Amino acid sequence: MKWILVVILTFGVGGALTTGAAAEEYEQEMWEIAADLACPVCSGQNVKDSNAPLARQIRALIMEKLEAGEDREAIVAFLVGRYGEGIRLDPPKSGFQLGVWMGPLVIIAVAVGMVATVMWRRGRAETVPAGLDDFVARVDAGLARRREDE
Amino acid sequence: MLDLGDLGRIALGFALGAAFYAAVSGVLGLWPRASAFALSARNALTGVAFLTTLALLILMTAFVSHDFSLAFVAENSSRAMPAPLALAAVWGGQAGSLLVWAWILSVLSAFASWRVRLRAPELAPHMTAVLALLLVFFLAVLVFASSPFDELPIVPSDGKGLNPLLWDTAMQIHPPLLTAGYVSFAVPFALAIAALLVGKVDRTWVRTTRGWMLLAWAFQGAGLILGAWWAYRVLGWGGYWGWDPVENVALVPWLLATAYLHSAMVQERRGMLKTWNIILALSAYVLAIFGTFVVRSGVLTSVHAFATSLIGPLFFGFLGAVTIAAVALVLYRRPILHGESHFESATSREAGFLINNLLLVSIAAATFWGTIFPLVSEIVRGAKVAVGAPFYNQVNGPLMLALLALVGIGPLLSWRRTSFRRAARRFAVPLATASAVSTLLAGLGLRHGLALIALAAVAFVIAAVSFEFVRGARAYSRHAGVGFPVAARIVMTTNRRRYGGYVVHLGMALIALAVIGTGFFKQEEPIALTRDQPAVVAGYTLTFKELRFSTAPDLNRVDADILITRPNGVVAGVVPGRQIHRGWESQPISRVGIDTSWPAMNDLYLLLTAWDESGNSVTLRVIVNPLVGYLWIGGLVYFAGVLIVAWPGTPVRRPVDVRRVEALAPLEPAL
Repeated sequence: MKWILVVILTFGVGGALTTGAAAEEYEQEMWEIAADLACPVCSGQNVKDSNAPLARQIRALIMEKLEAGEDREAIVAFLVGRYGEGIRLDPPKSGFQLGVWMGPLVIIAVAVGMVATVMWRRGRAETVPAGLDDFVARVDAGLARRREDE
Repeated sequence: MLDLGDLGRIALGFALGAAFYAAVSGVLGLWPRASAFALSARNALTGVAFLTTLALLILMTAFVSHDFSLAFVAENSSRAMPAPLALAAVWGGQAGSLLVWAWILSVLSAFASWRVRLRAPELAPHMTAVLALLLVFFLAVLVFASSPFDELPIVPSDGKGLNPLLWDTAMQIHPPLLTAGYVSFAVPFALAIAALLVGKVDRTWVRTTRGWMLLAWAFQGAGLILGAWWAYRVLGWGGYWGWDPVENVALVPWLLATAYLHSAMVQERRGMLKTWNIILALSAYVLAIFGTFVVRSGVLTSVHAFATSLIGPLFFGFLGAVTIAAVALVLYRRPILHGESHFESATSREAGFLINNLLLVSIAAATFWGTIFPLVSEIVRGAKVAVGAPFYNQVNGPLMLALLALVGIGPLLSWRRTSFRRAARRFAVPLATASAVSTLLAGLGLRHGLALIALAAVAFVIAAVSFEFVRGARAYSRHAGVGFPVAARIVMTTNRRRYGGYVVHLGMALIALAVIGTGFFKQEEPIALTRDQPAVVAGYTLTFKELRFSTAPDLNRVDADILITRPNGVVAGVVPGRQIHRGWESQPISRVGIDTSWPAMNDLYLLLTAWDESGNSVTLRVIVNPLVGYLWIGGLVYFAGVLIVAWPGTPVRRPVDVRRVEALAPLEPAL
């Protein structure tokens, strides 16, 4: 008898925990999606941080769609259809918006190229006139001696 | 009878006239036989500074005396505002901000033309002429396009009031500081143009420019930190930096100035990177103007806002003219911009500076590109897109991490080349510290790989800075036979540039610590609390005690008393609330409740989102921001470092250095 109770309890509690965990997971995902959406009626706030009625509606909508089994991509696509591309704070890495991602790559490539050229040129650097190194060393040595005298 | 509006318009009109005179005679004074004109231009600039100061004082008087016959005063203040707040309303709107801008520029120009004459007499007349021309533009905008002294036909009995988000102490200092930063980039710009015109991009130029760049950089940095502080405490979204266009455009010139301050050392020391330094000095100002243009024209909200005021096209034209002039001059002077020496090794200090510049400029360029991309999209395709925090975090995050590591490594490298033995000696302690810290944190259960790397970098920087300082002081103490504390003080005061710079690096490491804490470990949760029933969120125990409603003549307010117990058991009270200002009902203001724990500087950040009128329950948004307090401490350390570097007075140079330079001087061309 006892083991039946254990089994029921285990499954029962386990089941309850799973549903609770799922809701929490959905909520977690909802906040993550909301953080990458611009609130359409606010200036400079995302859907996660905004308290505007529309932001709340969008959050509820995302929750609803997550519970209905839609994934992030579908939800974002739906919202883009409704509010325009301006709602995506995270620009897609495709189409025209690929440009915004390529910009920094191009800049870094150019910068690295420039630095490499400058460093490469050192090979062709004028060599220090012969004897000068020796002279500098003698000046340093003399000064060091004088410093010790002081 | 003249009223304040008339007086203000007269002061501004005369200021414009004097600036125009200064510009004309400044240009005439560039001819060798007409140097009297140059002197006259300088005197005229002093006059402009006097007149704009007068105009600013008149506007302040109008605000304090609630003279609502001025449209600008009526738009931005009300009778309910106490005097200090009314004074801050001067920069609450466009026309007033522009007046503050012109005022700072005129005072700075007068001061610069007097001071640069002593340090770089060859460059001073050209610089004065350029600054006078810039002043003509800003004063003309103030007089003809956006005057704070325009009068209303019917005087209202009360003003509209200031946006309640700006009712804050930080708002009384942040805007003028940031304006001072933006404006100060004008002097390095004018000096760069002067050097190109004269044809001497030499050590005098780079040294003089460095001082003025340091000033702009300090103002801009302080402005940025204060802006973050205001956003954190007042805007109520739990963060301090949102990669908002207005923030981005303020960050970009600061990054370029940081790059200049480092690459200038390479030019001073080795005569290299001349073109690069000129371009940095020029573009910092161009981008500062761009920042103002973006903020003032509203062009980023929509391209269509551009045409709604005259300010947009005016600034755009100015920006274009300045850019074209700068580019043309650089191209024309290309022959004199050759370096005097070459890089010798990839492990040299100068190579470190080069990589530092690469990173800083890449961050600046990526930020700039992300900021203008929505504009590009709207112009090219007619479709609005947004570029938000996810973009900047992914692009700038890794670059900033690399920069942080370089902050630690760079100062340990020697000029020309670093030998392996020397490197081993100097890197040992910081490397050991960094690995000890990351091992310890991993042992304590920290499993976030990227955060571990970043925290190790912070440990490396702090250890490197401290070790370098101790090493320097100990060497001096041994050499001069004085005690360590005395040696530490002497080392610090005789080489303020170097050790002040290290202090700035320390400040950056602390700021990085806060960014890592909030970036990787921020926790956020909504919670409903019933009176006297404790609830646990992120290790904190929260108990809602009481809801208090209060009314003042111009606002309604609700406060929730929350008793909290920190994870370590310390008990404290936090009072999040909300208030609604009369006339701004659609914009309720959060009164954020913050509890900071020492020494971890973790913040418990409470926002009151909903409440039951009977006072039985409240809903809070609970945010835990680990280490965030180090941002403000880091900001103070940054500023202390800047003060150490820039403190007036001639640094005592070690006599050895001077003699060495003199002994080698005849050989300088060969070097």
